[in-house]
Amino acid sequence: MSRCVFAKLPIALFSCALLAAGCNYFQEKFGPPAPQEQGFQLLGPQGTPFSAIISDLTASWQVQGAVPLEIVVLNGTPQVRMVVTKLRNDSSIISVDALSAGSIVYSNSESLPFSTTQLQLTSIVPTLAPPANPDIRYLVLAPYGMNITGTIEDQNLEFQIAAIVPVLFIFENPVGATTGQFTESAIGYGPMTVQLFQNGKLTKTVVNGPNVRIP
Amino acid sequence: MKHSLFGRILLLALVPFTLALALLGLFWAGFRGATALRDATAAPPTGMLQVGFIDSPSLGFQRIALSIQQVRVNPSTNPNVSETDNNWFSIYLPPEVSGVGAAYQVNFLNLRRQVQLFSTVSLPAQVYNQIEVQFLSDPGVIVPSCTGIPFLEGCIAYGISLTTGTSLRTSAPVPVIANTLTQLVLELDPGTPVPPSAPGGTYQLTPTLSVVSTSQTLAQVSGTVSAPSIGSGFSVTAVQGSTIISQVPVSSSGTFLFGLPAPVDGSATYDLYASGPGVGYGAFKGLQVSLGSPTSPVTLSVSPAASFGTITGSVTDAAGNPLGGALVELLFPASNTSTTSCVSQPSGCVTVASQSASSGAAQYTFPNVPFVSGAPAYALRVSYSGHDTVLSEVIPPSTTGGTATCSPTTNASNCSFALSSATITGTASVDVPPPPGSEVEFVVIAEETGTQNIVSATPFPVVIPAGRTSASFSLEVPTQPGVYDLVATTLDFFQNQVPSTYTGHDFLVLSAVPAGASNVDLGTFTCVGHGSVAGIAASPSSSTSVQLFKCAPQASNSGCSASCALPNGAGTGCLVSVLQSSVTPASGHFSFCAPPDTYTVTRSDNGATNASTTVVVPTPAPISSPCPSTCQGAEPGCPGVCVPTSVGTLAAPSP
Repeated sequence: MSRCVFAKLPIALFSCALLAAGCNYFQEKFGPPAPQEQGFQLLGPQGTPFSAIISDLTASWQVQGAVPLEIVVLNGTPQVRMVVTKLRNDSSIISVDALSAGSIVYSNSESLPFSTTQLQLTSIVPTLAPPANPDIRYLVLAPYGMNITGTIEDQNLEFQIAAIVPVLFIFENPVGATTGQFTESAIGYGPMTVQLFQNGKLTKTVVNGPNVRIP
Repeated sequence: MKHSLFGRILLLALVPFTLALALLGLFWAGFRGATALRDATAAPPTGMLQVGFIDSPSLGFQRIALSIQQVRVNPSTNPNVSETDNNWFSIYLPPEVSGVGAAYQVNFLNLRRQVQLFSTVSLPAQVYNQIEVQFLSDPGVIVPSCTGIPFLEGCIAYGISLTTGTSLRTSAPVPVIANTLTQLVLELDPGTPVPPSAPGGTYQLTPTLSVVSTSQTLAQVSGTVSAPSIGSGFSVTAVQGSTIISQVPVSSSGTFLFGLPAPVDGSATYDLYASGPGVGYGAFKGLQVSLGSPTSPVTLSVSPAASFGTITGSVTDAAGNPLGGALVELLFPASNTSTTSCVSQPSGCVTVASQSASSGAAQYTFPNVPFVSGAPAYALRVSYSGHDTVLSEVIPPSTTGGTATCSPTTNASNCSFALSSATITGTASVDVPPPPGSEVEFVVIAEETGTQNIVSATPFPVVIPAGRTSASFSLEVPTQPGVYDLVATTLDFFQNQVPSTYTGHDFLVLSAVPAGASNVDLGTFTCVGHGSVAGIAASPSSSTSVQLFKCAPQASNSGCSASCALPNGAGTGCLVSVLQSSVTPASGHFSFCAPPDTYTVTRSDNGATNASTTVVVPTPAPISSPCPSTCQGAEPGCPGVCVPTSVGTLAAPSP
């Protein structure tokens, strides 16, 4: 029995090595998997500008951008509210999906000029929390429309992520340094552009593919 | 024994990896097999299918929005073909709107006038006979006007339950022809919404789906692209401003044909541009289309590109703060105008590409822009809410593959811009300080004085914290025209739980505020509850709109396009537009959700005011529970359930 095992061991180890290399299975991990993230997806005619404030019970974040954009809050409280203002004087729709564990749980929309719409997850967030400090964000800009997977982690928690580009990941109250690893889900889309923002400042940009690790 | 145990553990540990490897091998073999099969068998020809929606009017609602996850088509002639049949072809939202799996809310009230295009996909060329629309399990929201039903508050969002389930199906032959765009217009009728029978319930909808004729809903546009040679990848795109409405392939002979949405009672205007591999753009400005009236064929000429380059840069405000979401448009002169410079004559140019500055660093990039020798220069138009628009000429890179520069720019090595603005600062107050654990949030918008042209909004809510009665705001506005009307509105929760789009406090308005003004006092918000105004605009056209105005104090009364007497008789003031509404075709119905107050309702046709009336929206009778309801007012009690207000009929303009 033992002989049999050891006779097959080189093949098995080679198999493991292949899997490890091909699937990037053996990655550095700092901690146990964390709970699923929550977030919002802003849809509508491409390029429709908006401003938004996202607040949970302890911190808030201001975001300015254009449709489409997915925003994911990692390590936040289950109660999250977003207030979105469309910054365009037309009747184009801004449709907002509230996401929990990657699934759409609620949608709302508004189409009046410069209109404001709100969504909240789980329960009421009666007041907007103070700005996050530190404010850590990963923005994946390209390739457009690509599904990405990966992990974002600090010293204690690791979040498994899956999203559609462009997507903004917000890490609330991280412990120590954070690391983001992103993988394109298909080949042929070109390199990935990932930016790291710390307290409002762009501190690092990485353009690479199909894998990016930052910082 | 020890080795044997180790061996067993190692074996157990390796089993999953070995199995995974085996499965990987099978998958790889299967993948290769499938590839080989595809190689051996010619791929079936494909055609393009474009899906759009239109709706029958539904009255008495501010919004009926359903979240569409996908449209599916199936060639089966069996109307009961299984949901899991392998021949369903999914039509999701396009990647530029969002990725696979996203849902998109369609507001039925936006569909009542013209088709809204959903998505275009490539499908095997064949006849599809079953069409299905799939909604989210939480299918959407509905916002009624005030209903008059004692327990049913208006102007808040209610959930929807569908009696039909989350899939809606219809049968009709849809032939998708190889290398051709086929258009499919679906009438998505929400039916008559049934209100909940008790507080906390949902509205019940029984929607129906049917296929309607494209000739009755889309205007046909045809033309020719002139080029030295036309291969695959050539297309013609229809845009309105910077928004792409539709794109069709160009045939090998250079012809193109597509249907564009047009209102049932008027016309729509589009710009067209042609593009293709290795060539520059050809553009046409201001094509007017209407249903049932074919347009003259359009000719678009493109020339070979001499070089390609990248246009890139960033957009900031004057202080260097990034303006994420700023719109950057690439303009090119239209051949049917005499324009040669899009910097001096942007009205004669077409937006042939657009980018939004990214969130965060506000960067943008146009890759592989074609430059044609002897062609007019491109221009960039850069705009953002509350800031002055910049026009800049693009200077081609000296070598192909290089980066273009601009004049003017804030960075000599690329095309970066700083947008100027002026700041208005001031305060707004609230009648009752928010109790502990709560706050009052408000936004301020600016519109050009005497118009409904909104140019700016406070990007984030301004907060009056618990125990306080006022808060300061700061609002960026363009330096030109330099005088603005301000409207402030609160963001309130219904029964302290549901975020509401419609305010429970009254509007605060101020007229003719100069850019750069400081310490303006918007006044005091009063908790009044909800209200709604409805009526009929007789004999409406597509240019008919109805506006709701509120009288604002204005000392000098200068800059007003329409004056008003202040309700308290304190003198004259200016009418400030607070809401505007389109009207339902044919019937002319319109409605607003507006908090109790005194308003002037006006009807405009082609921009000219034709009818006007004053309306008082009553304050709902107070209730003691639940309190707060729409907002926290002065004691005793809180605003109760709102009641509808009618303004009757607004007459049509004289012939």
